[in-house]
Amino acid sequence: MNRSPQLTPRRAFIRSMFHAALASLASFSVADQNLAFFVLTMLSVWIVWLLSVRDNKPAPRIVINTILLLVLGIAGIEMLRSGVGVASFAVFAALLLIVKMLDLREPRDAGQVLVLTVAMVIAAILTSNTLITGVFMIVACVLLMRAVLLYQLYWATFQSEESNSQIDQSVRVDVRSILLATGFLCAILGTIVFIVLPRNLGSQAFGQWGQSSGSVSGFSDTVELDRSGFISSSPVPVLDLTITDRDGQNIGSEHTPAIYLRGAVLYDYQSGDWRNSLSMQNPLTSRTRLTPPETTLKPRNRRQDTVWDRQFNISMRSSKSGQVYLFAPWRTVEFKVGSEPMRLGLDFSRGIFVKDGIGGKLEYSVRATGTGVGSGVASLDEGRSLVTPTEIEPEIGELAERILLDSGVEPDPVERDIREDQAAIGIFERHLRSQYSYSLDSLPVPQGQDATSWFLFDRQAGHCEYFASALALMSRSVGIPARVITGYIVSDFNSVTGQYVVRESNAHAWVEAEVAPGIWKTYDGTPRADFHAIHEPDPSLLRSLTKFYESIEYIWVRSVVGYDSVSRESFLGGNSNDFGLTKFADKLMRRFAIGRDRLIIHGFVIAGIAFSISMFVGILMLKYRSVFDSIRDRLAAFIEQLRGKGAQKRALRRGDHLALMEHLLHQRFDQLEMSKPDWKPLKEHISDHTLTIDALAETTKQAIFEASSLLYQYKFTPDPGLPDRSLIDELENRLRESEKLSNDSK
Amino acid sequence: MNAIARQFGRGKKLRDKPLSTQPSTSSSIDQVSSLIHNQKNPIGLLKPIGRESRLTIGGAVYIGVSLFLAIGAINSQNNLLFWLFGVAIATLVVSGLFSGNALMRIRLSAQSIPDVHAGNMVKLHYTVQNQSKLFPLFAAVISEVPNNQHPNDVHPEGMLKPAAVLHIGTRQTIRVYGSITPSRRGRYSVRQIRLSSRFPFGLLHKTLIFECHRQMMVMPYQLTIKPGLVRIEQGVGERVRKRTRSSGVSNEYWGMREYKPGDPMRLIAWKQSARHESLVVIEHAVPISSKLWVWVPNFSTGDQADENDCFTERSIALSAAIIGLGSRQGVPVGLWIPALGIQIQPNNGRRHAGRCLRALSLIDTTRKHERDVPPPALMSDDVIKLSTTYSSDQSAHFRSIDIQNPSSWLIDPSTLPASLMTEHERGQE
Repeated sequence: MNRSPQLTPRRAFIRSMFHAALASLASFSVADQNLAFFVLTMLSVWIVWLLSVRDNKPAPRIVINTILLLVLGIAGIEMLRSGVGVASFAVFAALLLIVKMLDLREPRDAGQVLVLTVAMVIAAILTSNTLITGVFMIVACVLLMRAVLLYQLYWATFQSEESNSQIDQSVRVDVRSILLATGFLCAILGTIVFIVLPRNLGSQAFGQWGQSSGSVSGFSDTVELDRSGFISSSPVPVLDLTITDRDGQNIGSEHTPAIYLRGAVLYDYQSGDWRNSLSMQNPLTSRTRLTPPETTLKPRNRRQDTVWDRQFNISMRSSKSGQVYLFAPWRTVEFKVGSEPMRLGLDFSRGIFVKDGIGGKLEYSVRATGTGVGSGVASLDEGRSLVTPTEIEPEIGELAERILLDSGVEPDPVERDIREDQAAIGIFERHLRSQYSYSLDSLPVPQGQDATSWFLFDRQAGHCEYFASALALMSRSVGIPARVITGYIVSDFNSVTGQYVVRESNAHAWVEAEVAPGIWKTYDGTPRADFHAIHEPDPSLLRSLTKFYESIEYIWVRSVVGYDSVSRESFLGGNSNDFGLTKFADKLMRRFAIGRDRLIIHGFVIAGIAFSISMFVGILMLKYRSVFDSIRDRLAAFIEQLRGKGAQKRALRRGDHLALMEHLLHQRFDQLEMSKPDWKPLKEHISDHTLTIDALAETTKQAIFEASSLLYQYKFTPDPGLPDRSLIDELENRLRESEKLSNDSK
Repeated sequence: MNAIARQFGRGKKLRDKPLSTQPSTSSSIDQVSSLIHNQKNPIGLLKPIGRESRLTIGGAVYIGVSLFLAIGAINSQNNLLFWLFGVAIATLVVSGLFSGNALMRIRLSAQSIPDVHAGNMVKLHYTVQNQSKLFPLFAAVISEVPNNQHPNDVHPEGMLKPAAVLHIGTRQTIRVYGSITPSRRGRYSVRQIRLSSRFPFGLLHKTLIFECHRQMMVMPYQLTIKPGLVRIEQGVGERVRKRTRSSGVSNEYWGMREYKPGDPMRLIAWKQSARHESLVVIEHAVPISSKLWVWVPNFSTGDQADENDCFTERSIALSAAIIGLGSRQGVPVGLWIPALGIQIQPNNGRRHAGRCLRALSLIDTTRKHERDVPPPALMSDDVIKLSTTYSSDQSAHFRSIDIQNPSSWLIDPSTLPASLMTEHERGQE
């Protein structure tokens, strides 16, 4: 808070609102990793501050309305261009926020800015769940809370006589204390609510909201050589991996050789593109739904006696929803799902994938035997027939033949001994590694030229996709079935967390070739040294800091972003307290999810009808206000009458004649227009209205005095006992008669 | 205020411990010097008789956003949304806790309000004390609930500026003020005073209700009229004197009469009594002055109700101005509004003027009488008739003032308040 002695509530609030708005815009920029958005919004807000907000000079209405029209137009175009999503919504909200800051005339306008600030924070959360987003969100929330507290001071003084009052030191101290106390309480209670709320309930019932689950991973299940591939140098972590042995001991190390995590398996090559020719809809080797605790699936056609020697525990930090590839090492023996049930497709010719992923964190374990390139024992379930015939450029075939002939290996598959296939691929692998260089520079492939031929004969440099494509095509050209695999190569070990961190830059493509019937082996034609030099960060101080940050982010991801039903159960000690509520709600949400679209349409229709009716009634009320006022008054009178009768009936039902007498007395007071307030003692009320009561008939006056004395005696004498019933009845009758008399006289 | 005093007397004694003697932590709503330090029990501090709590529009929006967050969190299983939803719920709880406790031990007293002329601002002073040891009070607004049961009660909408309490530290007392600028004459009576706060998050509007009956008379607008309006014909010869009804008014001899029981002994003329063999007393004479009657005729016969009301209000304000001027110049002025049942005999002095102004303030324009007769003026009295038309029937003792033409009676016609203008005149402005 500013220490200026001339700080008014308005100035204090405007400053804190400005800070909150900046924090919210920054949090979205960080979440969206959008530098342009950050720079533009910060600059705009700063300019608006200097031009308008600081000196309380709102822009003219005509300017505001014109800019608003422009904003609406831009938002409309943006939504038409890229669809209605969190990003377009955030851009719209940010523009509105900036425009609204030009129009701060009353507290109401400032309140609208605060609402837009909240919208920006929500948009940031829907966009990303990273640690840095979380930190920005917390900062924005604290600033927002301070702004709201000061807004109340501004609002109060705005309405009052003295709107230029000052905030002195003691007010600052108390506001700070209140902010601390409320912030602390909110954090504690918010965390409790966060922990207690059930998870896995109603996921995706309303469809996909935002991109916080994220689909950017550097990985792609297709390879398009003539375009910029999926290869990325981004260090954003994609998944965490720990490797344990059969005893559960972590065997990860900075010195272990690179680990290949397979993702998509691509068979079809056409004009520079590698695709999976086998549709996901085709029958798979294994397709099943795994629900914890039955978590283990042994792939069919695996040899049952295969013994696994290491377990890969994989946690995908942010997976997209829908069909999601799971990354697994070569030679999977067993597959275990984590806490969430999964519908799995498991086929070694196509990889492992989840059919209906819900986004967010995804955890699973794979038990395997052996890793690395060239060391794999092939699967036994597939034959050479799976490899579709491919039209290979003749020059590639000629090159392959020449390389083999130079190495003394027969290129003709008919004449070549099948045992020499392995040697042939090894020759191609070495040739590519030695004769071609690795580069991430993307150049356009000349029109009409095959991308792989261009790489092999013209460019002679490229990224891993080119190397994999060339190796696969050269192998095929000499009759050896080969397929391209896309996935990740793992080598970055964090000794603090004991985990391997897989980043977008670790996305890689390599080749699997069938060296004997049913025996597939892994080959990688990419020059190792170049690949690591480009993709692995140098071991500098920055790298150490990055690793430290990643350790913190790991804790964040595990404890906050990755908090799920299992964590909840382990924290709260089982789910015995929900009385089946979770199950019931889950069932309900699934039913809802089935009829969701219809329900949403119905909801919109009902909301539209309700809106129209309320508008119509509103217009009628404005036009015929007196009629509505009269109806309201009559209704209020009727309800009041009913309440009176109800009290009387209730008293009679209870046989409580004293209560009835009290009710009659009050009714009498009401008639005399001297209603007794609840808080006022009866005798004091009577003494206050002595003049009115004196003007009454003698019998009525006596009845009122006697009834009040009786009530006092009963209420305030220590052990009064019930008064004589006949006396109460008599007083009741007298009060009733006096009421009748007064009615008649009227 | 009797009821208040009684209630206060009957209520529990306020704490006798001395209040904080620290320097002001109050809002700067009032001057620092107005803080009451070391005051054990400020007189008339009231306990609230009731409390109200309602959800604000912002609160409703907040609940809507919280529900949206809950649905979003459940739908997307986004843990940050879950956390934000948790914070939203926590904020609601904290808001309820804090606002309830901050208002728990607030006491208030309101100072009485002096009478005021319509269009003039008057300050409404309050003393607020926070007896809590733990919770300061922030951002409270003190407003008054007027009694609008009588047609002459002033409706304070649009002219009442509530008092704001920016901050009262624990165990401190401050004085704050709001203001009221009544836009029409009448009686402004207050039945309750409400102290409301939406602190800390503006979700709940909590109110303390204090019983407080007080009233203020709002006199008609103060108009600066031409001094020549109040002029009377001076009497000549015998017309300027009369027999006094009471002795000792002047030293000038008037005559003698027979003694009546009750006459003061000192007025008995002993020599003359001895000569007449019966008691006689001396009578003195006082000079008489001509009187002025202000006659406001019935304007309700016209077709245009709005204009008639405006002219009635204008003539009331003009009458008040004439009475005020007459009072200052020592001219006896009487008020004659037969259509509204007001007949006040001419007299002078501040009390008489006050009486006339109060009568004018409380005129109920909804009561219409057709009776419209001239005032019972004597031959020597002047009569000013306020009419909506110019009358050529002017004489030394009778003048007709056209209230439609303010330039004929106002020094500066542009000072005519907007609420005394007709729609047409406002349009021209």
